[in-house]
Amino acid sequence: MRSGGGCGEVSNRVLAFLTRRVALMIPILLLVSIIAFSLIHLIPGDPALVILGPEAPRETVEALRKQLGLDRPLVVQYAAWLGSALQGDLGRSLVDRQPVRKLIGQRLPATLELAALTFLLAITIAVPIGIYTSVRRGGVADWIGSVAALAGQSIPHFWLGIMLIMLFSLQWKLLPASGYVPIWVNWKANLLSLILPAFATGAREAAVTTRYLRASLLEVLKQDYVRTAKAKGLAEWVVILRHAVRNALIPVITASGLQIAALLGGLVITETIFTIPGFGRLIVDAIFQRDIPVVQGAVLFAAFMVMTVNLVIDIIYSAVDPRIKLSGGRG
Amino acid sequence: MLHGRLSRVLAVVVGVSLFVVAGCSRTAPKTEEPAKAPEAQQPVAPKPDVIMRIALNADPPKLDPHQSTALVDRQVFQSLFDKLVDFDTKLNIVPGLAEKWDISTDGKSYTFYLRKGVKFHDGTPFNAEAVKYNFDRMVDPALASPRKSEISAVEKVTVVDESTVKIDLKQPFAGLLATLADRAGMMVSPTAAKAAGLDFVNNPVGTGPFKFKERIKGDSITLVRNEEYWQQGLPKAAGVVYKTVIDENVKLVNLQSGQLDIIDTVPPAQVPQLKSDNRLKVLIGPSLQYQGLWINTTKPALSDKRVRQAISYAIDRPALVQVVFGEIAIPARSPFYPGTPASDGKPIPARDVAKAKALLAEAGQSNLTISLKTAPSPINQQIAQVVQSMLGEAGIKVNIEQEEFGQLLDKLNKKNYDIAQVGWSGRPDPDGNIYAFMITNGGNNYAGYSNPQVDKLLNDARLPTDMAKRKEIYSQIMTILDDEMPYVYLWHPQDVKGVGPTVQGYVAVPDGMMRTLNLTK
Repeated sequence: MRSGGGCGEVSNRVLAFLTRRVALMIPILLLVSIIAFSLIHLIPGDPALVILGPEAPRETVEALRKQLGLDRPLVVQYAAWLGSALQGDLGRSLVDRQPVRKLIGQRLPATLELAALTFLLAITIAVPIGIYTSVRRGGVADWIGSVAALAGQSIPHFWLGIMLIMLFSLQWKLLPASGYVPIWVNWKANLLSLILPAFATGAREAAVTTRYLRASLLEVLKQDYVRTAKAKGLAEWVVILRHAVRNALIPVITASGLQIAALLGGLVITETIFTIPGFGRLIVDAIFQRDIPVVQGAVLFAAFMVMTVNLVIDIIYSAVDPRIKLSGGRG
Repeated sequence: MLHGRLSRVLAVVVGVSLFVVAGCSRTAPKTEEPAKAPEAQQPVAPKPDVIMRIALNADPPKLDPHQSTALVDRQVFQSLFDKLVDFDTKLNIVPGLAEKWDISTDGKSYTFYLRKGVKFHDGTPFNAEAVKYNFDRMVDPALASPRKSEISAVEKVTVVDESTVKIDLKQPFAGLLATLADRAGMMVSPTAAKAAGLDFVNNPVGTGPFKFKERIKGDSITLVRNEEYWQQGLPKAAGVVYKTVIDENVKLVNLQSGQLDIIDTVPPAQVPQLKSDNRLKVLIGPSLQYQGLWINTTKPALSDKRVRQAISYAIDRPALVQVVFGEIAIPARSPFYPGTPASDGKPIPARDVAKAKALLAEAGQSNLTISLKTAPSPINQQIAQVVQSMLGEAGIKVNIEQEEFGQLLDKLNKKNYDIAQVGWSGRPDPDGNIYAFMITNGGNNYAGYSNPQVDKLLNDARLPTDMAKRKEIYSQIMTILDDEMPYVYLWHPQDVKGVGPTVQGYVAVPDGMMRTLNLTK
């Protein structure tokens, strides 16, 4: 049963909610940028020296330091960056002078696609198994499912990634070991190149999600309305699918939202093993290279993405559970 | 009730979602023997659409030879740019864009006769004016080029006629030709450089066998054949793709699966296995590199040369090489790879723990504790542990401190360390392996070492054009350094390349550069 008044009132509430959330993003992004800036400058190591490497003569290092404005006070450097950033200019990479926006644009699609595929794979595995093992709890299937989930959660995904490459690429020659191809260039090659990495990371995500769904479902199945539905004569499967699962999904959606946000940065290791030019690696490489504008721009963007994902999750959340109002109250 | 459960779920989710990035140990996968028998490879006529895929261990930051400081850039330059002169497999100087050259008797004037009819990738002509422009660009303060100090001996570049250029030096510099066989001799298109300015790094234009097409930062650089290349019938391949693959094991897997054709490093532990895989070729040959320990002479305990000598005596170089590297390194006693012109051929000093202890006692340092700084890779850790154990037997307690390379460089520069395991990639001319390292206030003199006699000898060694004379001077320098020991030379890494079964035309040169002109599959 939907709460609230007519359509107009609902959309006003939604609008107010969205406005408030978007407005909240701004101070948070500002704070994130200050933290990122401070952290990268706290790391010892002169950026000019790191960028140029040990083979560079001293005069070149000095000249670069001046050229990059690294001898200005930190506050001045931050203010200069902020000023440009507010106009949409995130600066240029200190290492190769490419615009940071372009770099982010180049590296984001791979990670987004990989995160989406990983998540989809995880859900595809987790939902049927989660439902089945919760219904058949205590049985052999449940036991097998629990052990598999524990294994999936415990196996380091980088090890799994390398093992998958050796098996599917070296031994059986079914899939490529590396070589990401963008989806708009060749969608078949693209999917082939992402199957193994999606699985390497997805196995753990699937395991985690399975256990949540199972636990959540078990709770829901004890609820009064479920027993009522069964007493009314509905078949157990119908009860589960139409009523229980929907409610059990709520905490899973929240967990998934956090998982997706984590995936966006957490795919670094997978990207390294499968040599995928992704967003996570962009940030890590930039940190090691002391490429300050890239780190700042990318971290800011990552914060923005995470907040957007959370916002979307909250909206879905409220759509799925009619008891939850967007304003945060309970019906 | 939903509240409570939700917050519990969230708490666990947050806990689980704390992923740990970085510090993943590189588990060396056991490579299994392929199930299928190796296919017989017949050499065939080069196919027109062959693309060579070459792995690099880092992403080349700057594709401009005049702005480049990273070594890995040089690999890509082999395809994009021709140099005035080049090396053959024995590191002799051979013609490049300069067909021949005259050197004046006083060694201060070089006249280069340039090849005619060569064009840059943008169609503009290569000529003496272009050469002059390149030299001017290298000393242009706006560019702050690292090449400037490499050609510091050059006083004036004069265009004699369209294909003749004269270079006058302030004083004789025997290493000039070797310098011009590397980045300082790579010719960029004046038109493109003027138009692009600093952004030339992203739009390189040279005369080389391959032209720049595109790059994805951190991933790959794609080059296509230069159809108007001045050598007839070359290059053989239709294109080259340089892929950045940092992890050694991932590189190897890709070579074995056929997705890479040439890889530039092979994990030492995998070498024996690879050699027995008769589909792949592992090329191990001489290089120019050296590795060892910097000793901070500004620290009180380490300012006594007896302590430094003790450190050298305590180490068993052949054993270190055997344990850590197997056949992909050889023991070292100088910065000059054995067989190169300046190498004096003296034997590797044998380990002498008793002598080390005696020296330490004389210096009053029988209970010395020092820190050894090194880079964070597993190989570096292994080396550090061997050194720690060997020095321990002589009574020196070593604490290993692994530091990220940026921090390590910083500490070296600030002389904020005791001993550090850092080496050098090596240069063909001996001057490039010793000058900046041992001269007072040298840019790479991390030991803080200063000896006026060595300074004079280093400068003297730059003058004669006769290598035999220079070799004598370098021998004198090494005699002093063997006594003063600001750097303990330990091993020379070999040049190691992994090459796929279908690759043809790859020739190993000790400078470690992968030349792509004749490559095909």
